[in-house]
Amino acid sequence: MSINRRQILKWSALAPALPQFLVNSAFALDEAPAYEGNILVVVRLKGGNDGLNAVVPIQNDLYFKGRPSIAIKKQDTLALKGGDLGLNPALADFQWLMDQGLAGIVQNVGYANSSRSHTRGTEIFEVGTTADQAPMQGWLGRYLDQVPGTTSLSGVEFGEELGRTLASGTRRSRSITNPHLLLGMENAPVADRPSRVSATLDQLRMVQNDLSDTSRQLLKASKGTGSSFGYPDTTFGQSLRWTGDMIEKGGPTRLYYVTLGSFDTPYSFDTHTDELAIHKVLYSEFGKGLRAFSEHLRKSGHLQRVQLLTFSDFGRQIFENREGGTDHGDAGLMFLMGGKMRAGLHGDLPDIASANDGGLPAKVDFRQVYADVLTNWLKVDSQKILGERVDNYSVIA
Amino acid sequence: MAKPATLRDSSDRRHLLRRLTFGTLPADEAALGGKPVAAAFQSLWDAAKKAAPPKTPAPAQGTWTNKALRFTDTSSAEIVAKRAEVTASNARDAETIRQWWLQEMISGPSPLRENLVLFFHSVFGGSGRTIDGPHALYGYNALLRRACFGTIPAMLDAMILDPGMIMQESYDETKSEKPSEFSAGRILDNWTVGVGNYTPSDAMSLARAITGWVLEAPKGQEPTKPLDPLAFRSNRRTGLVPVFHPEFFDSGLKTILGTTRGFGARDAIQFLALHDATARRFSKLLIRYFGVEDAAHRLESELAATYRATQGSIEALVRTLVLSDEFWSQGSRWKLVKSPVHLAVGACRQLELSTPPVAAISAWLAPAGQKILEAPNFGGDGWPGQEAWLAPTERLAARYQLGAALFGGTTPWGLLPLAVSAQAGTPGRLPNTVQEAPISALVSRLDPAPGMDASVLERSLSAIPAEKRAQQAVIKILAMPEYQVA
Repeated sequence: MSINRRQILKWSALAPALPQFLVNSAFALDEAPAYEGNILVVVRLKGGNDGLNAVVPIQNDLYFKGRPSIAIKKQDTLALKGGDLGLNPALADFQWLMDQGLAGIVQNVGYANSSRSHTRGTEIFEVGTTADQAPMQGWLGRYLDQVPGTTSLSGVEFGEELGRTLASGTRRSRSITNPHLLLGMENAPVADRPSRVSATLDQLRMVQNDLSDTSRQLLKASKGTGSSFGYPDTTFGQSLRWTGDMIEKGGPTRLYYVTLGSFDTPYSFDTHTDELAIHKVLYSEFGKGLRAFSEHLRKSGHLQRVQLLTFSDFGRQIFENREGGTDHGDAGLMFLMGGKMRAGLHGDLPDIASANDGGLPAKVDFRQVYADVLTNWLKVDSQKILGERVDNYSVIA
Repeated sequence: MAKPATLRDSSDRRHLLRRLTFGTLPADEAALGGKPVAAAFQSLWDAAKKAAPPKTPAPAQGTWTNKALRFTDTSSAEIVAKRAEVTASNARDAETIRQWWLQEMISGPSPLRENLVLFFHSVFGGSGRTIDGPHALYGYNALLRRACFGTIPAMLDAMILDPGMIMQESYDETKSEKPSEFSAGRILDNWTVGVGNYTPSDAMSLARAITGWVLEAPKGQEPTKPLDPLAFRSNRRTGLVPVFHPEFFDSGLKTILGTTRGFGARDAIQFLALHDATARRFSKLLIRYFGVEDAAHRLESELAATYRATQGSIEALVRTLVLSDEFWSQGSRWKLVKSPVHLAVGACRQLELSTPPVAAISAWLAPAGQKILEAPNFGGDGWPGQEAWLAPTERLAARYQLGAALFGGTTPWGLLPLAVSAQAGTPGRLPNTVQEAPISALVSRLDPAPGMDASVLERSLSAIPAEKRAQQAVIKILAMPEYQVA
């Protein structure tokens, strides 16, 4: 298509009130070069995942005493090496990934004085710091701000709005609720001069230019092979499928973010009630989605350049409540998947005896895992991103 | 561009209607004639004030009963099942009320009144997810409609004991030994002085002042079985009558923003409502909502002075805003990004859709970023408006699907989250007067910003059969940047 980038940049220069990201969009109108380095996928387990009913301490009486009606019986769990722990039966697909050497779990992940608020707990994991004045940019948004060669589509979050993890000061990320919404905008008329009516109208016309570029990338991805890998037909499953298709067809995106669980429908990990039934649905969806994703990546030749990690608002308390669920707690689990990672179970057994007000103590600071991913996967100085020197917790092979 | 003495010029009449209502209609514009601005404002205001209130929507009729009460003999499994059932039924009822309200905005007698209700809903928040049941949810909406012609302090006085707001801000049954700073913070942030204008100590004092109120069943309608005292509050709430329990109230002295008294809920909210920070906050919010350029903050100061002089008269505030030079300045013209509600309701009114597809519009509002009765209530100022309507920017693409939602009879593909199916509805139909109008008349009727060339549009539609051309033209106009601004 004939788009005169020079004209648009000239227009941008004449309209200093335009936000920087819209000026950036003028550059995006040229075909962005495909990114060929390592890719990171972040999965949010929304609501505060209960680690103890995912990786079950089957030899610990305190676990069974604390959960008379929702403990998972030893004989119902899937075997894990060592015999002290068993996996939730709904995580069979995840166990398969572990057996293939493609997945792992870090236990007791958290931080000191853990927050039990959804808002604050999530913020801490998203920005990568426990500082009271959390930066607006997330830990991966700051990464995008600092590395060269990024575009306005370097980070993609599948969701209604961009959360903090990928939020960057230079607007290198965007959220996409449903790619079908943007398909079809690739041929929207391109505005290349100011309207002389109002700055607001000019801004809208530049946004339209920006969306056209994203539309072109999505159109390319829509020709991927994702539909043949059995992704769950859920928002999470299909977000992961689009992630796989975008990676397969190539483009400027290096960071992806998808969410499993919703406070609206049908379930979240905030399992105050009916935890066993909810876990059955969510863990199955999670395992099935990751297995399809790994197969998709393997067959398209990208498995070795993709790493996935999860986080959740917080862990949950060791005691069940009166409604078949558990309340907000402290340390929890981090699931990982990738073609070049240290597979298997990491970390000590959960220290139930040392629980504080029902919450498990953190043994691995989440920033240690972030530091390893930043250093050994994204190949940047983690101190520059995290703002402090943190010892790596090794998960990348 | 100076403030006009009279509304002789169509562009001035349209500017006034775009901001005070949901857009221009030929009849409304004609009624303003060449009136002086003050008289035009007064005629719009008086008509809105006199307009008949809408009928109560079906789910909110009768008396509310809590179908998820937990008695001492209710098992965990039973209460989980009951609560799930009530949550699902609440969601259905909230959707019915949402569509009822949209219908009122589109076809009701007073778009100005509904625009004011929308403003206050945006500021105070309010969600069908936290307000338990349709009666309290509708009750809060009706309160805003009753109170929007009075003063802001009077509105807040009604709100502090409104069952919906008591649930929304979570101070039902708070006791002196455990006051809710969370609730107090939200009242300070969302209702009164705003974020950054109080200390944690002020919040704690307000939390103590709002202790003692419990929502209960009307006398004689209490449940006969004993309730489980340890159940969640939502599973023990027996009715919607706010009852004061002195034994739960913290009767000690409290210091709020430097003033020490034995504050209770009502006098604390009055004190805050009349505070200068509240006056300044509402001044800013009105300027933002009505899209007025006030770079020098002169109008903001004038509105704050008006607030103080009139004890927060809403009429005086809106009149001052409309009569200001800033309202009519060039910088205020086409400055406002229409909210999704203004976009959809305005289009339905301008096109005179007799049976607007409110279900499809309601479904469209969420991806467009303004699901009414789900207004944000963290962080202070509700929907931020303006550029924020385009954050994320894909919301512009959602806005461009409005025409497809209006005339497709279902939620367009792409507006729903991945893997969520659309439900079929009834498509909107253009009336014959619009159907048969030339394209240039359609453009004029929809009142976009200057720059839309009707002849280009006409040429692009020349291959389309005549009977479908008007609808296609409307869909195209609704999906242009020029239609997104007011």
